[in-house]
Amino acid sequence: MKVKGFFEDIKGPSNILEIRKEKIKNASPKPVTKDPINELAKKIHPDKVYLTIDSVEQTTATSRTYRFVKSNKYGEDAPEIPIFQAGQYISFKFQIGESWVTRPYSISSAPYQVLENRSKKPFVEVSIRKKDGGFVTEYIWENWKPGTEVMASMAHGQFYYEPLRDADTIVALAGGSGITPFHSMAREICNGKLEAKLILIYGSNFKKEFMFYKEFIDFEKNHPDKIKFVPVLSGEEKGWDGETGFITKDIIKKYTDINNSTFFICGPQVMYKFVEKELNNLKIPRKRIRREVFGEMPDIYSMDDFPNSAKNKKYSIKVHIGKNIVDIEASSSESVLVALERNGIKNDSHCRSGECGFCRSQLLKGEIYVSPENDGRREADKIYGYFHPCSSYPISSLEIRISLA
Amino acid sequence: MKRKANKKYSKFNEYYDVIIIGAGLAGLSAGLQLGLSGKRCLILEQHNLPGGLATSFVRGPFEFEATLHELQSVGTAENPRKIRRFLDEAGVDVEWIQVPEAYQLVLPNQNINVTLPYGIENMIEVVEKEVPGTRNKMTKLMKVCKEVMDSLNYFGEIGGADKLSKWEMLRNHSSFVKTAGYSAQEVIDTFELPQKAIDIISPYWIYVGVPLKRLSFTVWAYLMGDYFEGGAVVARHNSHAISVGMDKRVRELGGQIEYKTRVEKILAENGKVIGVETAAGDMIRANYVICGSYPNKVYTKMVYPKSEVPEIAYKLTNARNIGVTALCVYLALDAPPEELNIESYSYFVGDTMDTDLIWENYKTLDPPNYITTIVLNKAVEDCFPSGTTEMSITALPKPDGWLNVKEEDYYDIKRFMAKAMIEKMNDVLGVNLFAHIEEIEIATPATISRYTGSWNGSVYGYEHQVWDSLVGRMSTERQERYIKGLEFAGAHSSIGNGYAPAITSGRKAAAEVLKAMREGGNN
Repeated sequence: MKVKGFFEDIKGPSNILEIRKEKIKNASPKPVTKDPINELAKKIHPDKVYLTIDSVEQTTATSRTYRFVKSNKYGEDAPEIPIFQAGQYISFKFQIGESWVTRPYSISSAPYQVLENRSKKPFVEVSIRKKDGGFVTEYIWENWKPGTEVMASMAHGQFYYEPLRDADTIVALAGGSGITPFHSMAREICNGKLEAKLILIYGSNFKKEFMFYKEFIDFEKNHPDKIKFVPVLSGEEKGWDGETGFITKDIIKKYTDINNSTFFICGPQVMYKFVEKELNNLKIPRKRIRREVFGEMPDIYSMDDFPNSAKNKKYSIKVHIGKNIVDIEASSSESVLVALERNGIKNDSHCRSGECGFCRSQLLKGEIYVSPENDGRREADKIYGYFHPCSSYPISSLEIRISLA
Repeated sequence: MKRKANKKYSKFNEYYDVIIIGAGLAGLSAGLQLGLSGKRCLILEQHNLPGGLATSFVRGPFEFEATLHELQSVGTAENPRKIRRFLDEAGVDVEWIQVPEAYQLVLPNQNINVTLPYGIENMIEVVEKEVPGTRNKMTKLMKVCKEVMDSLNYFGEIGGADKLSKWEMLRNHSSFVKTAGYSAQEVIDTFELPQKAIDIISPYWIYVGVPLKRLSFTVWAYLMGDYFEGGAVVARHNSHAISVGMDKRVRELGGQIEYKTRVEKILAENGKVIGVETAAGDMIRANYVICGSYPNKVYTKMVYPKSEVPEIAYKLTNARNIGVTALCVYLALDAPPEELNIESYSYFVGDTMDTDLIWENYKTLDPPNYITTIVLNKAVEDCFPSGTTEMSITALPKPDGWLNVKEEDYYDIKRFMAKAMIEKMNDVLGVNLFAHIEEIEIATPATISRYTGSWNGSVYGYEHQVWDSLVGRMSTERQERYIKGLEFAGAHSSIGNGYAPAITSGRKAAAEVLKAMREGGNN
């Protein structure tokens, strides 16, 4: 083995050390603190954003749109409202009494409304429908006013149009407040920032409960080549000459080219079951169906495989937090995450649907129920006893370990 | 009792033998090594998962491998190599699955389409078939590569080449000594192989990400020797299974790991480490810190007070070049591999095999002219639901092109690059993959930075240039330890990038700490 000659070659290692010494000697002694890639990452995904409610608009009898701007209480260096993709959600984090809670809401405003207002006042909006007896929405109704400060994390989720994957036409199948991500998409499309066509088939019980009814009529009027609006009324109402009943395969077929569309579904849990059956009947391939996660299941006992023996039971959960152990009580009807939150233990979460894995924790002992649709665990996590508390329900007493944020 | 629960619970002991920053593979293996020696260690990780880049993510019915292509230095149960031996000894349970072939290299412009098998002799035979008359030269070159690898492994076993005399080095490790001062290109050239043969054996440069003219031969030789002699593996249930398995054993050995816990300050006093401070304001004491954060970040942002950082530390980080970052397209395809004309596990596809030209391209936001594609189904048949294919396409850009990307252009650039990378695979396979995409995710340098905090999104630490590669780094690392008790582990430490080096670097850092403890009592 010879590269340049025996004596030259064997000097290699000591030559390297000479060069190294020189290189270091001649380098700048100034600390270089700039990490532009990390700045970009933080701009797009800041750890937290601190927001102030700018305005509240009553949009229907039961729904309001909240507009948020960056809070001015945390200085200039606090993160700006980041850009997002139409269809993504924001996760609010706040305290109600002794409970720490998080809530994901689809963003109803459009990404361009952040970007084009960079020099002025960028904003994001969420449109929330009040649930009777809903612990969190009732709190929001009472307490969120212009000037209220709220902490959040954004933007999350995969419920956005992906041109490399999806067909040119988005068929949006929405129910109730499930219209909000499509309002964001429609705005972005009308503003020329999202290249796609959108056909919204939107179901509601009563005309007065349609959210963004007027907006979508206008979108369609001003951009007939891009937006089509098909409201479907399930209740009876005089003077309604539009579609009625549920979102059936016949209605879907009537208004869309089923072979050249990607179907986006967002709405209450019962709607998914119905609509997915209809799409199956139409033989739409899985890759053409996108579904938004719908948060916690309102009635976990209704799942066929939920064990009967665990229904209406209370269990204790031993929670390891760092070096501490805390005992809390939980009901099998509520997720482990809710049990933690009710007990004032802050275990940060985003999606509350088992999908994002941010609340991932360790299950040391006991049995949980996870509905198959909301099981976003990694295979190795299942083997090693990790779980997502937001989509897991205790069916025995538990011992768990959580990470405090 | 329930009120303000968080404030009440202090998570930590006041003092630990060692604090490890980052639960990447390096941090976890340091934790294992220290646990095996009965030391109490605390691992702090900002993210909510172990493994750093050794991770996976779930989209609907699909769990994607994030980064593992070919894990070297594992070997088989019958012929275990160092990584398998260490993890076995530490009690980490991983099911390893052999990767079927080294790579399929497709260079359409040069009419090269060749698949290299593992096994040094097998590989030489294939090169001979493609470029007749190369057998003897290839045999000699691979012999040198293997000797360099054997020497490096031996130095690792005895705890450093400095334990050997110059005479011993020259007598027993002459291939290593005589090639150490040269680039891969300089050494390869002396074998006078035809260019086509050189092209066929060049692809592994991408696992270090430095063009052959500047890449240290030592590192290239190690890769060639280790991969072709020992083969490569992946883990069942993805690299996350390695990470979570290591996490479990660290805890069983008495270590504590806390996620979602970012270290903001490394506290120092009189040139020595005294502890760390977390973003939540917890101060935790330790006389030793093993650090997965990049030295650039540690010296400029973390060491506190700043006066504890000597000027030479800045000079060192400024003298070095930060390595490549990554751009990766993950696809879930709605057809099985055979319907997509996929034959191999690993593809290297290039407009050229000239690593200088690839390097220049990688500094820009032009479509990558060289990609690496992995089809995991070809090694782990049931990695995805039946009838679907898991494909990842990777390029390793320099941070340069991404430095001035604006937020408003970010998603467009991401998609533009991904589209070009998929189109490259369409050409190779003669299939329109776009018609088959069921899920797609695109990771950029910003994604890497977001989840790992690595400096400028680097995945490979610093460039393995001749002067800043194994020999240069290892001979000087003790004198380049500017703060007593502060060790680095990870891609940016002396061994460099890759799964196996990360694991080895963690062990090595732990060994240094144990040595200092023995020699200096409590620092």
